[in-house]
Amino acid sequence: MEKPAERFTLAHGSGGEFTNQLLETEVFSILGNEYLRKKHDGAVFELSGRLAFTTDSYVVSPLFFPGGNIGDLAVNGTVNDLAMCGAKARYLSLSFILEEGFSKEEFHVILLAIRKAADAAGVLVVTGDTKVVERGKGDKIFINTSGVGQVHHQAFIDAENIRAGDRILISGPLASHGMAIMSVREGLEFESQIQSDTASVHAEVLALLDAFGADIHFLRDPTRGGVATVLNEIARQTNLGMALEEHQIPLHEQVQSACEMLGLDPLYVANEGIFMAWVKGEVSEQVLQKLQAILPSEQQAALIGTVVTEHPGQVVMLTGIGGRRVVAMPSGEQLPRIC
Amino acid sequence: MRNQSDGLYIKVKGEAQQVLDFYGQLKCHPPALARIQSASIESIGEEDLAGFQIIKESPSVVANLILTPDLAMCASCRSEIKDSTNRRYNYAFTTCTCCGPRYSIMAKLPYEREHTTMAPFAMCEQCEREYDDPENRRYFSQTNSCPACPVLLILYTVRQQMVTADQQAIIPAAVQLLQEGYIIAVKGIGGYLLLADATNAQTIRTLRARKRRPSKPFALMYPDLETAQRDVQLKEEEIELLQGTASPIVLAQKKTHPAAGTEAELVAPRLNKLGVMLPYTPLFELLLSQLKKPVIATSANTHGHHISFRDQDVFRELAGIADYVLQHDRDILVSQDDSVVQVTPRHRQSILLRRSRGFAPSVVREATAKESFLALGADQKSTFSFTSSGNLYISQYLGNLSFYDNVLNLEQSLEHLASLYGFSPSHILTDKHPDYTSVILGKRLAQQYNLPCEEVQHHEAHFAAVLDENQLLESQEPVLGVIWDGTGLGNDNLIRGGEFLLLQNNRITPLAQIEPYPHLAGDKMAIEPRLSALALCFDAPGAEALLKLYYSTAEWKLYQSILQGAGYKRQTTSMGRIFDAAAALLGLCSQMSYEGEAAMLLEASAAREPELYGVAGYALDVFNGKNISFLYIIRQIIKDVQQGLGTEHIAAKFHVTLVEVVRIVAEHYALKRIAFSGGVFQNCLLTDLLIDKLSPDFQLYFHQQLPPNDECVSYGQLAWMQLKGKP
Ligand SMILES: [Fe+3]
Ligand SMILES: [Mg+2]
Ligand SMILES: [Zn+2]
Ligand SMILES: [Zn+2]
Repeated sequence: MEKPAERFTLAHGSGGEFTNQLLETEVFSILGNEYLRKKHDGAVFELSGRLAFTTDSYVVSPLFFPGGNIGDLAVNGTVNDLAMCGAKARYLSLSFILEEGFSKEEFHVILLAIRKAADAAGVLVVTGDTKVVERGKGDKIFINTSGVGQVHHQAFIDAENIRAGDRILISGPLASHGMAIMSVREGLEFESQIQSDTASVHAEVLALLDAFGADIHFLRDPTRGGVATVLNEIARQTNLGMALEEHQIPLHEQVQSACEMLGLDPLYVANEGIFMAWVKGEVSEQVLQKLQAILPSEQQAALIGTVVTEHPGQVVMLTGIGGRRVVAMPSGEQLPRIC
Repeated sequence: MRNQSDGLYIKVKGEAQQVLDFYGQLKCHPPALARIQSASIESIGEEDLAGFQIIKESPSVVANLILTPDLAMCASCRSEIKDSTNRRYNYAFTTCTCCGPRYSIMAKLPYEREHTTMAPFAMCEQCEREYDDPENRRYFSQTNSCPACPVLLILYTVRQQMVTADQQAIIPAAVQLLQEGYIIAVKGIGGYLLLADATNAQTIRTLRARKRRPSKPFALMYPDLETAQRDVQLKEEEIELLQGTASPIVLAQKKTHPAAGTEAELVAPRLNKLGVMLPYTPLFELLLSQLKKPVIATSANTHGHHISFRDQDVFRELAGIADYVLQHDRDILVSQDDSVVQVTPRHRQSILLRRSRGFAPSVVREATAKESFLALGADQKSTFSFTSSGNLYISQYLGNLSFYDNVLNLEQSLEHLASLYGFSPSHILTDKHPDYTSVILGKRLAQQYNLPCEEVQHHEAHFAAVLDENQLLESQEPVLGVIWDGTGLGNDNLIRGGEFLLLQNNRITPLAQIEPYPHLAGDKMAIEPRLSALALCFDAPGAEALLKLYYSTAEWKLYQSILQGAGYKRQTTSMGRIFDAAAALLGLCSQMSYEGEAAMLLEASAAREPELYGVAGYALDVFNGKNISFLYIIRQIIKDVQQGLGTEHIAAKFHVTLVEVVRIVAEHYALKRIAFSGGVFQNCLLTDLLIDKLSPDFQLYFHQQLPPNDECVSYGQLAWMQLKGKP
């Protein structure tokens, strides 16, 4: 039997005593730092140089999945969006929209994950907000984070820098996050459990910028819609062709077999802990070596393709059996096509 | 006489009655290959005409001509190249006005030598004389050449090392190589064909391994009709097709004991038909008549790609597939595969399975619309169609558009045909499926040229196509459309494929459907009949015992949890998948190695039932006017399998049941006219059964000049547009 006290009520979002209590016992005690402890409406800090600023909202079902929970996602996602600007995340804001009746215990676990992810990324949560909505008006918990970061002095990340001849680098295997979510959501049992790849990638990105600076032309993290969506967007934006090589694309065996069983194309499945870089062709092999040297040994980074002038605006993949397949911009869900 | 790109103009001088007689005669008895679309006569007053004269075209006329398809070698040319006294003896590019390439070599209209890839070849004196002589079979023959002014052959290894260019030695050398079991890519009309000795099991296995084609049937080319008849049953219709100007691959009933030495079971594993053709170019004729054995003759390409046709690309494309390449220096401009036709064994209904060389791109009918519509068809068996200056053209089969090289080929073919006719579209039509390459292409064109773009639902396009082919678009009496195929996106976003549509008062509306069942695992379901079977009957008693053996433990658990959970989101009405399911339950095919394999095996199995036309179908569930339940039927199939009833008998019952399904819907709605379209109707047996059991109580309409599969969709989109324009 669950005790009513262990669930959120509308009073927790009223701004009164319940709210205070929640902040003190949970949020401040877990995330506490000098900025938060001021309990002011905003944080005041100094930052120099070029800054990057981003925001993202996190809604995921289920909240908990192998390899992480919505808390990790909310921190890593925003840290990574800043990293994709060539920036090191410094300060985050954190807002919760909680549904009446949401479990306090789960909230606690999520807060711990937020703390851990923030520590790992070297970023501070300096301001935030909590609201509680009536039962049915939300879905347990929504999180919004915004972040501000300092741009690496050698970073010039802009899709306009992408040239034919650039190589496309990916920092790790595809589709782990999406397949981990799916295995829980659909109650699917695969031979071994698939772990989400949720992680921050800023350290790798900054190391590459240190070493290669402006030769890193562009960065993107292939989250929702997967690698295929990012490639199609960039192809259209630059009006250049993206030529992929299927046999170069890193994929965990278990993820691959799960995708196969479900008839899913891993190119379209979400990731949360890898990034793609468009790098100058001449230095691409060195960039790959550098990246492999800093990544954990089991994570396979790879050069998966090349920017070409052929098929402008389109993504085409050389398949394992020698054909060239069109990798289309997904229209939404993957609808079956074969007649 | 003046041959212009908008038609033929003839000035005649004489007594009024004489002239009218001439006009009448010409219209009633045109030359064998002529197709008169329209003709008119007018008086131009007195003019001095200096005898019979042919005048060059006058430029700047909007092209409005039927483009002639490529024509198979005629009998006269065939006998010339075999006659040692003839100057074209053994000449591999012998043609005349009755035969030879057309569409595949034309860069421009009208059909003049300068407008073809024959332009660089200057005729010798003798050829010129033939060309200028109105009495000669080669009078104005644009492809005319001879050993003195020849198209040249050259034989290479696949690594592009020349073997020989000696014109006398090449054909015997190639024949020798075929004898020795080598695979040779030979340049034909629409592209290169891979030839391999069909009596040599090892060669066939090698070809299968190299093409990664474990069991998909290959077409065969026979030296002559007599040799072909040792392997297959050929009746009048088949013989006419094989010897006709199109000279397609004909799918014919395999004899119980094929006697031409063909390794039939390796060529077409487990099937009851063989695809046969006769040499349709002098080059093939010379090779085959010296080899004196059937050869496999299959489009030279890498997996899934269009046929190789450019000399500069062929070595790269066929590396690792062919051993040798037999080339010549007459360029191919438009690639085409060999067309495929079959005739149903009982009622002799002909069914086109692939419309390409010999048929494309001639007009199926005149277009009523004066606007220039471009319809981009479907995706897997891609074609495009367009209307221009009151004519309607349909491209050759362009293959599966998920392969980029096929998309390029489509774009080039479109550009080519459009420039031939000076065509620029005013309106674009596409399918509804947002992920079809053809849809994305259509949208892009519409955006680029700022044109209106209309989406046509897949099965409505199928229905409109078969209606229009049978002049039924304006039918006063309502028509039932039975549209059965694999997959098409519905107006309601359901994955459809088992549709009953109604044409009434110039409108197409849905009438009934196969009861929706779960769609599993995306595109994977279409290649794994075991998934269709599971989706259709996973909780039916006995299903587990029949199906579990096709799954690993992990797979079984996974699909069970998907089907049991509320998780699966998609449903389908696909009839194609029901064929797959039946084939899987009968143990015929659990995973396909080529498209249509399960349905073909099911048909082949049913065809072996000796009492086919006496078999009764399965009981049908009560029909509520909306849904036909196949679970009800599948349960009975499972019971039959459990009771050990013969596979052939069950397969036959399944086919017969489908006829009853059509009947129950037609009777429920009191409809007498029924039109059929969709890939399912490539099935000979089903077609024969429908005719057998429903005619003459019902009037049945099938496709005539088009395949029932998705190749007809682009044409159907145009036809649908006509309906839409009606009040
Ligand atoms: Fe279809
Ligand atoms: Mg974001
Ligand atoms: Zn001829
Ligand atoms: Zn000559």
